[in-house]
Amino acid sequence: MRGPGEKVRRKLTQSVQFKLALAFFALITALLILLNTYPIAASRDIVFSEKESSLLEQAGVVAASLAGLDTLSGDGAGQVVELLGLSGFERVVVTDAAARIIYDTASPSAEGRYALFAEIIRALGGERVFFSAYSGDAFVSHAALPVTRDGAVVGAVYLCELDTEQAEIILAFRDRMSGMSLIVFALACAVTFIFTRRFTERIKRLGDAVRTVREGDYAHRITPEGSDELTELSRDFNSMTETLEKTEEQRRRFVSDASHELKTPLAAIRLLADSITETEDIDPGTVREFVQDISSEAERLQRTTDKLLNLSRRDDGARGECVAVDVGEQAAGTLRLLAPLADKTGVTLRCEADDGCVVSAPEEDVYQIIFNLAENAVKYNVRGGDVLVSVRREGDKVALTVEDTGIGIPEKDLPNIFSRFYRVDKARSRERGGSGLGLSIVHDAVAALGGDISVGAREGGGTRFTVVFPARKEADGT
Amino acid sequence: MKKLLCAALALIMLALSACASGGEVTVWRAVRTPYLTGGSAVKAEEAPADAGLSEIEAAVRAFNSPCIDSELAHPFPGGVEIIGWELANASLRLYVPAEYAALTGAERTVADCCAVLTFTAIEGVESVSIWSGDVMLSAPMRAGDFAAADASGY
Repeated sequence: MRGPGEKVRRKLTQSVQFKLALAFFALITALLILLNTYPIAASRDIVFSEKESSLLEQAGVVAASLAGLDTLSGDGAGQVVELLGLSGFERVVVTDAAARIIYDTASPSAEGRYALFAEIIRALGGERVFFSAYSGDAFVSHAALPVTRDGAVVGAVYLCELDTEQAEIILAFRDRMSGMSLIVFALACAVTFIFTRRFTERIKRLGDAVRTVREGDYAHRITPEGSDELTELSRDFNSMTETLEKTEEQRRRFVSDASHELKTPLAAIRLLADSITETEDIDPGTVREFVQDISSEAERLQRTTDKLLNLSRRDDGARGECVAVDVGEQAAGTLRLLAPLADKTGVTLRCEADDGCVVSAPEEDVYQIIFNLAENAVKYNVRGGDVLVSVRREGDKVALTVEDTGIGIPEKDLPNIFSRFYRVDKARSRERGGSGLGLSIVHDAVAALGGDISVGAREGGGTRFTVVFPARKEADGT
Repeated sequence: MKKLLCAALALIMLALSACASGGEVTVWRAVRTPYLTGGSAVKAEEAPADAGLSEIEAAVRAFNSPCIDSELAHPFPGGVEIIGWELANASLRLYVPAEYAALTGAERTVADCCAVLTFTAIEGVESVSIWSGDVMLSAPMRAGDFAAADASGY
């Protein structure tokens, strides 16, 4: 059985290189066969065609000359053949209407015999006959024509030609083509081997890289070569492993941070509880104080787990039902909830809202956004500071701005403030009950609503968060 | 003893069946026009021979029978067949109906050739002449009087 990441051993015939090479080999072979047969067949056909017109023309001249004779005799036929200079033919036969040979250049003794050649019999039937064959070393052509006088067939003329010259030209051409084909074939095979090897090696490297990453080495990268689809695939692979590496790193950090966040209040609770149980004669006032501290730590634990659950639900894609939410009213309501905290820390809360700043969103999400931003603005403010929450309608958008006059966020921390468990000042954040998850929740909620969030320093000190939501359209029911 | 008798009986049966089968006769036919693409205008085929007949009689029956090969045609015109024969001094006379005389030109030559090549293959027959009653339609011919195909160039 094969374990994960283990390389599979394949037969040679199952490899991509073999299949590719086989396909190329078949293609090259087919092309070479075509190149070696078609031109020769075409040349042969041209020769056949040329022979047909040439032989039939010459046979026609002989037939016409014989038709002009008073009587069809051997002597007369011989004179005609000699006069027309047909000595180049392998055989010239002249017969009477009954196929009796009256003249034969190849075998004078055949005169008087009957010629039962297919060509002559057909010619005596009134047909113009031509047959030609290529035997490999010669073209053998036969032509036969009737000799007609006054519309009646009185005999036939038969020509047989043996042409070795044309055959030699074709043979030489064929030999040259075969030689060239062998060289081309050898070169093509070599190129095919090199090409398929290079190609499959790249695929193999990609496969090896996939296995390496599968085994947990997310830092593994491929060096992209060339500019083809495989290069693109290599780049995509690198991009994918980069994302995987980042995600893995975030996951590890999250687990570590979450454990730490849960461990700290638990350790405090245990310490306080141990102090109560292990100290003899502890006075009731101290016990009450310890129990209040335990309650406070438990409350922090609950806040953290609530927020973690909130983030987890968002990660799973869970979303509440979208309803029409007036952001201005929601902001005013949220500030009322935060008023006791603001009074305690000496911070003044103000809310300015335009009419009709309605968005289509789950009410809980809008509340979370405003509450977390405003709570941070109060918590990290200075005594006597201000928090201004303003809601404005800007065309088809609704802009929520939360600004404070607090200590501000250093420039270097701005890119990370939406990361989970990220704190600008850890000690101060814990001291003020921060979990490091509030801004992550805000960020994810805004993203889920199709909005944008930005953060920057406020003129005169402090921080300004701006959230832009798409306004609810009339068609949506407002 | 019983086994020997059985074997002898089987051998006799085998010999009898061989005698009854008769064998084959080579008969020459005309090649149909669509198949006249070079070579000879006549071609031989093997026809079944009736057992118990003389060689010439068997050849006459086979010659008169329809062609086996679809590429071949009977060289005689429709309804004309050999109706009698006579052998004297290695010269065979074949008797045919008077309609045979209607054949002229190359067709006549092909018909004569098929008859001559078929019957001169029989031992004791050197020439063949064709008669209609007392009228000689074709003078005595030998196999050598015909050139079946052009061998030059091949």
